[in-house]
Amino acid sequence: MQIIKRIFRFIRGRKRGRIALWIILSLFIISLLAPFIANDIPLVCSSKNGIEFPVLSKLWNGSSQYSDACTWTVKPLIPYSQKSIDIQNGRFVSPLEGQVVSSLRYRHWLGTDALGRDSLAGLLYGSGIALRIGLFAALIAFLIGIFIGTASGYFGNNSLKLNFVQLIILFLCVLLLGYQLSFGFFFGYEKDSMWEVGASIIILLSGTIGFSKTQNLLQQNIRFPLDNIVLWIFEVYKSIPNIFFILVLLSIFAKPGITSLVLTIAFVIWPIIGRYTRAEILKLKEEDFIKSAETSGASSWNIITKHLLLNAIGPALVSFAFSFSAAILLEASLSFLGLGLAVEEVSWGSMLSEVKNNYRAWWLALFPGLAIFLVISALNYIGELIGEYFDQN
Amino acid sequence: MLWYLSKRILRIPFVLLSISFVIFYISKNVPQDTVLNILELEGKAEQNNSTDGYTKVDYLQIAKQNNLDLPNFYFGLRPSHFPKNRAIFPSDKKQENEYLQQEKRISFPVFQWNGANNQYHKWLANISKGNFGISFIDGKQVSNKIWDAFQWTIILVIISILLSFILGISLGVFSKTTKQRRTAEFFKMLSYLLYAIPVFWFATIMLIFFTTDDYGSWTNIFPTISVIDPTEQGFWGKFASSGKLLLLPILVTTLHALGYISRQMESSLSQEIGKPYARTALSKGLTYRSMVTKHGFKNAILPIITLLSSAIPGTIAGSVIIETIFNIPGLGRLIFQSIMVADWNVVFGVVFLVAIITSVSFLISDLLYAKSNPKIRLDTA
Amino acid sequence: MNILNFIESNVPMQIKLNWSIKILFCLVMCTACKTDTPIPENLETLNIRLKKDPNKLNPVFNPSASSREVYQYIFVPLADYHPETLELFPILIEKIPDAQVLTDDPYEGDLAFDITIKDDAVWSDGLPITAADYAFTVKAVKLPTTNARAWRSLFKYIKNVIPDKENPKKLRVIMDKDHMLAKEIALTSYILPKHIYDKNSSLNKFPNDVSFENDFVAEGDIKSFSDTFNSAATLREILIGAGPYTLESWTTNQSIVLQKKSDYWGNNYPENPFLQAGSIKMVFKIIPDENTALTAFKGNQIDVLPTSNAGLFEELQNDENYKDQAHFLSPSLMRYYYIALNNADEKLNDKRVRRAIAHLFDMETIIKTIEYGYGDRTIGHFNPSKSYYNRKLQPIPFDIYKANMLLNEAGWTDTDGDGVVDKNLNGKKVQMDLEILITGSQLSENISLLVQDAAKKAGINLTITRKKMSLINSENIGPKKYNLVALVISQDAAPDDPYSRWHSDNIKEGRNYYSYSNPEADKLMEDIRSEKDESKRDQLYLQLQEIMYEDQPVIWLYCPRQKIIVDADLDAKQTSKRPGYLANTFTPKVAAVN
Repeated sequence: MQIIKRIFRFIRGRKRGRIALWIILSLFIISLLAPFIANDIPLVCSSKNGIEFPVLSKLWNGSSQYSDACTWTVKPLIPYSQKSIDIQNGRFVSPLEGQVVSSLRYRHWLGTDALGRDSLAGLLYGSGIALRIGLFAALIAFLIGIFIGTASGYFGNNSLKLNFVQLIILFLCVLLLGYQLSFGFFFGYEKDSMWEVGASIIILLSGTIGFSKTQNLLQQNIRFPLDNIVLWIFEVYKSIPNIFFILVLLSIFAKPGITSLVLTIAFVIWPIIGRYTRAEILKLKEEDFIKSAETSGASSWNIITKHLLLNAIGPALVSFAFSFSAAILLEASLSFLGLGLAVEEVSWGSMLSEVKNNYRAWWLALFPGLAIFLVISALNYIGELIGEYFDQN
Repeated sequence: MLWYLSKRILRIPFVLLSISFVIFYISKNVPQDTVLNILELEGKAEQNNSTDGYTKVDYLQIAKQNNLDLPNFYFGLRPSHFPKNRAIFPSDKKQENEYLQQEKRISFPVFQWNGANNQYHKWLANISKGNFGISFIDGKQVSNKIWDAFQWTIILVIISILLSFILGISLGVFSKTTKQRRTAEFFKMLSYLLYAIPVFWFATIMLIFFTTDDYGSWTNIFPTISVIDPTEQGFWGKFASSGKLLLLPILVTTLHALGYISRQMESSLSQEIGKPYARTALSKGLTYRSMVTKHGFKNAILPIITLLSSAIPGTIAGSVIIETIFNIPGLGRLIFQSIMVADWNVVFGVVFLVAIITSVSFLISDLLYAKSNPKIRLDTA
Repeated sequence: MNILNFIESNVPMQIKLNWSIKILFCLVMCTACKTDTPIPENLETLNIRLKKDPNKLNPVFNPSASSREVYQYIFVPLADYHPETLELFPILIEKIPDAQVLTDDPYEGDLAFDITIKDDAVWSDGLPITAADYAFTVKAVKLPTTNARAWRSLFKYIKNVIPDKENPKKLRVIMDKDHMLAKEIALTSYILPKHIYDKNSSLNKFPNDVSFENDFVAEGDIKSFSDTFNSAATLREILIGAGPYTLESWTTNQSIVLQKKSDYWGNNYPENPFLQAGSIKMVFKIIPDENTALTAFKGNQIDVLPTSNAGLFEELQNDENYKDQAHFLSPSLMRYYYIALNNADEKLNDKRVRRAIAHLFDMETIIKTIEYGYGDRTIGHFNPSKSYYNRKLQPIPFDIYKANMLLNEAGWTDTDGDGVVDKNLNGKKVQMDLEILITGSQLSENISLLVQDAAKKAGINLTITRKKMSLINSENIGPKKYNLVALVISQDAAPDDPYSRWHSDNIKEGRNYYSYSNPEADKLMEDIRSEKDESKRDQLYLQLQEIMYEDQPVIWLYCPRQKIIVDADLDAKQTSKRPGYLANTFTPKVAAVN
């Protein structure tokens, strides 16, 4: 879309904007190339079985098996992955002191942690984790927030009209869904089969789709107070401290990992975006061009997509950039506290938390912290520039 | 106006009620066994019926003491072939569960009315009397525990917010009105820096480098923190030693918030300056500076006031990390520890308190916002 | 609203800036004066670091490690193991009595101990310690409605307490013949003063040999006694004991202050380490974070710092600025880390598989790198300090190749080339996928990561799962649904009774969570229980260790050493008794002026 192109041009016009864009770009590139730059298995292995590409096959099907007897190999630049344990260099070896390594190639240029894991490799792979968690959490939160914020802002309390039949269908679906999800709550049992949950969701969805297409059978229309409900949700969110939701959600997921973190962070962030979007939509709703579109008979859907969203895109993008950086920061804080990621995973936050065990390991505090700082400031700056761009227009 | 105000005030108990329900619901769905937690904290919690560890009688006794043998809620929906009262003791419960799951019947839910004899109701009844119960960890009254922690956190929060807002607003205005571009640029970068540095990193760095002689005695500028000296008597003694404890945390929190506030102030001012009335003021002959400070300021300050109201609960929640690092017995650390051990009475008490503070501060900010901007007054609920 | 007016007024920005700077300045000046407390001279106050708030200080309820660290100076038992000789040493009683075997009904075969309490032993309020207090404590613990569960299982072997008719300080305790540790239970128990905790003498109605039914229901004054006894006051405020200190103040999560008793009767026994009071005040500062604690130590705010962080301990010893300020104690406490294995699991029921897993632990490197050398290897359930520890058994070496060979021998080979060994069990191909549960402490994480790495090379796919200890207990160990769990066992100087944990009788309903079953070992354990001759019993212990070494029902890792940093000006001795130091015996190094 042209707007995005124009925004990019604007950002590139500023010197600091260029730097910020470069930082984000390098984040992407590093996270993609990390397994090729730093790995303990070779890139290319030529043996009697022919030429193999161990790194690629590991990425493809997770198997790191390759024939041991390679006549010649091409190894990645840094011969460690973030998980490679080099216990000889355990106990927090500094980048500046002598290390027990076979050659200069194997030196840990940025030091090690308690088990001898290479700090530089950790930085590289950590970028991938930060990126993935930040991006997806922000994206999910963004989509949910925009959807609910726009709906609530536009329809308010008075516009959404359902007729009696639709209302009953909706009520029953919610009850059924609630029953399935809260089965344990109401009766203290855990239900094994989830097919009933699936059935309820399908019924709910078809009910929802139904209500937008059903003809008005009865003339009595009941106003559905969408805005009140959404505002009530926002208030409940605001009042309960984030840490509560985070801790509780993380304990629910069976396997800790990126998925659980993404969903948890998205769950916590979306109301902020939703509230912001709603405020913007409310402001825009009063604008003249919307009112004229309404009076000229455009349907709600048209108005929303063609006019409102286009104008609200500015603040929405700003909030996306900020929630991206907030998600990265949140992930780092959670890894710092020891929550969320699996034990084997190494991320910037987990490297920072290792400093707690040994204050002398300044390299574990400096580099990951610097990385987080750079990425967050870059994202924030980009967000601000986008805001400036839209302010000027 | 009064109608608007009373509508808003009436929302508060409604919101509190919903919060109570949400927390209660979550506390029942998290995989914890409260009775086992209590047993473990009291003695052995090993699952057997023989020599050591608890017996079924012990288990049921504690369950009864804490009302855990009652149904959860006012009503229940159960499949028609499930029994009316379910077992409580874990191994009985598992047996019953397995037996029932084996019967793969599709049966319709049957409504079961429990009346007021359920956990939720009893819990609410206690709360309304002001009795938040006791903490499972140490048997202390929840209200006492929270009050002690609250004192610490509220001092930290209020001083940090005051300082960061005053300094942040001034800084924002300063960078917009000053003629010295380089100083303004410098402060802008400083604000970015302060906001982008992760708080826990900053705090740990300060703690390592600036409180001891490790890196040279000239860096030893902040007092060593541990706990309040219990031998200090008298108000000023206590104030001084708790002040020492709070100095570094307040500094770290303030600096972090400062960055954010000054950025917001500046962007808000930019928005105002772009508006037509500002140009009118300039063309009328006002200096740029007085236009900003007299007119632009009043309008730009409003989003910041909204920030103020969200800053208070935000800082309380965000103080978890700071309080852990600096060893301050405040609300953040309390709620973190309580959730980890599933001490729901304390958790709810803290959330309740924070919810009240949040609602009140949002009420105030919404009122101010509505008072100043008539366009949104009527619609914002 | 005032602030708003302030901001909206026309006060120029400069002045506002000035004011805020002035406020900041005032605040900083008031509080930031750098006054570190100087090193204590005559041991007025001894500052000790506690890792967490003990929540309860009454020893009869839930003796956790952190509460013991504090209450051991307030309460003392009748007798205890001497910190240096590790033999039973009388504290409140005159001497350690020998067991007498009774011959007539109704206690035929039971053991009797005649105990004489010291004449001058009194409680904090000056009233004498008598046999009535002992009897009361026994009854209060046995009462099912009190929360003294931890002791109830032991006290049920106390059959009767018979106070002497003439001398209120003499009594006879009759112990059930069946129990191996009869003497220990009778003598090392803590007793509580009856006149404080049972003011209304509600328990007088029960005879001293009462035994309650499981479904006993408390009514009337017994109910009110239980409620009071279980209340927070008993746990935290009313702490009247016979030890050298009393509780002066307790600020939750901040500090606990103990004050030395004046005119203490224990002063008449200067050679008794439990009755000494080296400092006038003891201040326990509660600092959960290790780094904060270290900073506090460097700032002379604490004098005794037990730490779990081996890195910190080692670093401080090499630190030029501080190493002369402290001396470093590393006593070996009687506890060990181990990996519990579910012997009933189809993958782990072959002892060759378990032995293979034992070969995957590079203990030397783990102790050197993670514990910085502060650990001692152990080969079995019994502590190396015990006389019957089997020194002939060598610790299992780290050998990935051997592990793989053993797996192959047991029928596990890699038939599908995916790097993980598998086997055909009951017609299904089963991969060697194992899961280890840890509580998430740094130590358990590091060890499990190392093992995961070694296991991968040997063909075992090990996944690491962090889980809360209470959940591990209820969901995995209880119902015996687990592969490996990293755990710890604490022991003491008493002779060990392996029956409760390792005998196959205890698989269904006891503490044999590992489902270990070996009939030879079972027989040895039964014999140990009934063998009274110590040298013969030692032989039985040695044989048992050989069998269990072969079987490897669990993997014994090492015995960690406690790490304590003490201010260099203190004369401090370490001990194998938990917590590793007796703070009441610390005295200033320079001879005190009389």
